[in-house]
Amino acid sequence: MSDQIDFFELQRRFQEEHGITDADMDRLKKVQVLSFFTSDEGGTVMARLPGGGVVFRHKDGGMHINPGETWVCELLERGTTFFAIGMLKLDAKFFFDLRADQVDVLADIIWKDNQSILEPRFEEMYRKKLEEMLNERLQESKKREDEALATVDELKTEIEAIKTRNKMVVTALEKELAELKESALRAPLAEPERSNVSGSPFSIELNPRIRRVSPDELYSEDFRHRNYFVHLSADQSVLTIRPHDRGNIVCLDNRITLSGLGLISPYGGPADMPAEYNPKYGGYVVYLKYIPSTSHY
Amino acid sequence: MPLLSENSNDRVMLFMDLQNILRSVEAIGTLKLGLDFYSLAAQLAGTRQLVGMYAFDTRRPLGTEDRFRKLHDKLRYMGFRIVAREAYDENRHEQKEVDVALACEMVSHAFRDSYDVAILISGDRDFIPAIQHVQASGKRVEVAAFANSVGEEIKRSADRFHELERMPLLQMSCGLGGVNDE
Repeated sequence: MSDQIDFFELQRRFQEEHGITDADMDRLKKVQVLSFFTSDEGGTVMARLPGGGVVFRHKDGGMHINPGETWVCELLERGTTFFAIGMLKLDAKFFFDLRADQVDVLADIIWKDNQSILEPRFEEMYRKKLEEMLNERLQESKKREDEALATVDELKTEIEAIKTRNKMVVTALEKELAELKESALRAPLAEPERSNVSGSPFSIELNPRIRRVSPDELYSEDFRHRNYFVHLSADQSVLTIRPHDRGNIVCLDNRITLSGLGLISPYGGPADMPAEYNPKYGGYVVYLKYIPSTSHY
Repeated sequence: MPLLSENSNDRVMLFMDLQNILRSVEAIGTLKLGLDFYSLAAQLAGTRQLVGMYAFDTRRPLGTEDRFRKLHDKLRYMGFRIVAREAYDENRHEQKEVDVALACEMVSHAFRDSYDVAILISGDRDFIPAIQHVQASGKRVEVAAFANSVGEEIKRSADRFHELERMPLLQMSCGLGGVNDE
């Protein structure tokens, strides 16, 4: 009973708020939203009111109502029977034409009315989707892990092969070294052979031993010729000593004197100088910038 | 190692700006040691065929004193062709016509296919257009110079650059006086 009182109270407030006249309110009360269907007996198109009353289509209603459609209708009462005049068809077009705020209100109402049904369904959907994604990721990770493990196995095999090879090489070298040591112990002590440039008219040593014996003087047992040409690079890093019949440097007792050598390269006592034979210059190349320590002399 | 390595069959021709090189050596001033032009030519040519050596300089008129005349004779004796222009500007102490003479000679020999590789012994960037013309004719150009007389531009223009500092070219003596000519 209290619900009825509330409903009438609500109607009164609605009427007051929107300034609706009593006549309009009476007409508004006759407006219903109805879904039409075809009856089982006789194929008549009809709808039912919430209270169970039957509503038929009004023949002169203007707009044609088909079974399966939902309409906002104005009801005309003829005794115990109601007839509906279609005012507005509630179809997809109607909903698309709604404003965003109206759609929000509708969505809220639908959600509130159906929350208990929709929530478990959504939860189920999300759970399934998440499970699918997790499974995919898991399989992908597993695949990667398998690949990485395969690569590790390959590398392990490769390392083992290299280790085996190295072991064989080390063993062979150790054996060779032992043999060499043994043969060296057995062999008589002899002067090491020095290589000559074959065919050279000057029989030049490939690894000469050139010693600086004074600031301007170089000594070498390989200075066996009478005359030499000696050239210096402008950056004072290299000296070339080339035997030549018309060379301006005269060699006496395996010694050559180079005027100003002491100024170019500081003299720190007698020392061997790094030198080598260079066919490009046809003589010895002495490196002035790389004089080794003389402490052992 | 350069992409184009030395080829023993290459014909090499040397073009030397004499005063440019002498000034560089003088500036280095290492004990006043003389530059061995014979070694210079031999080391630059290497194992390649040396088909010509030109030295470009100015000279004073005959009958007047010229301190480079002896050097010219010495170079001539070594096999250099001396192209000496009588165009020295006494007031400004600079030589005239020499650069152009060298450039003309280098380019004309290139067009006559007299050589495969031209070695320019000078660091003067005035020669860059001549180098480019020689290169355009399909020849290679190498530049040899001391660091104190060469710019980056000419180094980049050349197909190869020889750093003369690093080459043993300064002839040493024993201080007793000896034969300098080979």
